[in-house]
Amino acid sequence: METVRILINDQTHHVQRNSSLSVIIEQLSLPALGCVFAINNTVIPRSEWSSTHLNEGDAISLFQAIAGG
Amino acid sequence: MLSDRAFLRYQRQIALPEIGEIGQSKLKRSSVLIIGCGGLGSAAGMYLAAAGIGQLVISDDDVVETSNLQRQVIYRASDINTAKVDAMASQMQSINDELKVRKLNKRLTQDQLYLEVMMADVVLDCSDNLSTRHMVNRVCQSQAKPLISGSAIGWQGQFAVFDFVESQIGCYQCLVPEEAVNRPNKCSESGILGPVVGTIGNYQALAALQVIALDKVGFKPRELHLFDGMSLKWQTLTIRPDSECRVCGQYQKAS
Repeated sequence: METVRILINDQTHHVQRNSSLSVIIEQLSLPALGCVFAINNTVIPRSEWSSTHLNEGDAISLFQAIAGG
Repeated sequence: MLSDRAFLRYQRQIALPEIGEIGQSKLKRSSVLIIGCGGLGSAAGMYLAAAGIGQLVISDDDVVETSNLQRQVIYRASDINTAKVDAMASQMQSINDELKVRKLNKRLTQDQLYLEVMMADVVLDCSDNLSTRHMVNRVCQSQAKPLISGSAIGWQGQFAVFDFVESQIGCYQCLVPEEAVNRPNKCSESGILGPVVGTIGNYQALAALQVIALDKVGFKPRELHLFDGMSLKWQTLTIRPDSECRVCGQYQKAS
């Protein structure tokens, strides 16, 4: 199985080449509820999670949308 | 034309070539709606009052509590148990006696919000919950009214401006789909530092002054700014419109 190296909040992970963002969220049990995902500093809309594929060296930023004020 | 008194009061910002007397006159003629009078509203409200905004409309249904004073710096110990809108209006007018303040001591319904947004030049979302944030987004998007959104919790802050001038710019719903979230992360549960929420509130005030006084803002509207009060670093992300967004997307337009 060919893998690529990606970063999630600056931590290195290895995932199968051509994995979609939704597959990675599932496989790594990442929190999805109320969370925002960006790849290389561009936010990925939720409807595109399953059609967005990760490449070698891609950096995912994962964070909770906050509501406090 | 500015009065001599106004010229004296605002000379330091009139001296900025991007603002000048014209920009100052625009601030004087403007009305800003502030939704929420907590830590964000405190910071933004004080700076906007001082800067010579003509009218501020403030909305909140809470009273001042002791535990607010650590970060909601517009309030004084003597304000405890006073309605926040009353205490905030009084403090803002003591900063600037030329300021007009309208107080809305309630949570607005969508219909009430629609009218208030219509009468405002800029809207600041300083609220503390996602359902209000989504309602404010829907109403501002429907009227293409500039929305300056801030939020903070713990050591983290988030800031974004949606100007809705270009079509398909994206909106708050594109960023945080409403149906995906039901978990509140309120300050009462998670903790928050005053300077963290104050930093975001100041950003909101700064963006509002630009939107009103300048012909062209100096920042990109489709960016989400994340502040980490521990590392003191900012991260800037590009917001992409969601083509299936039910507020601003094609789905909405087709139906």
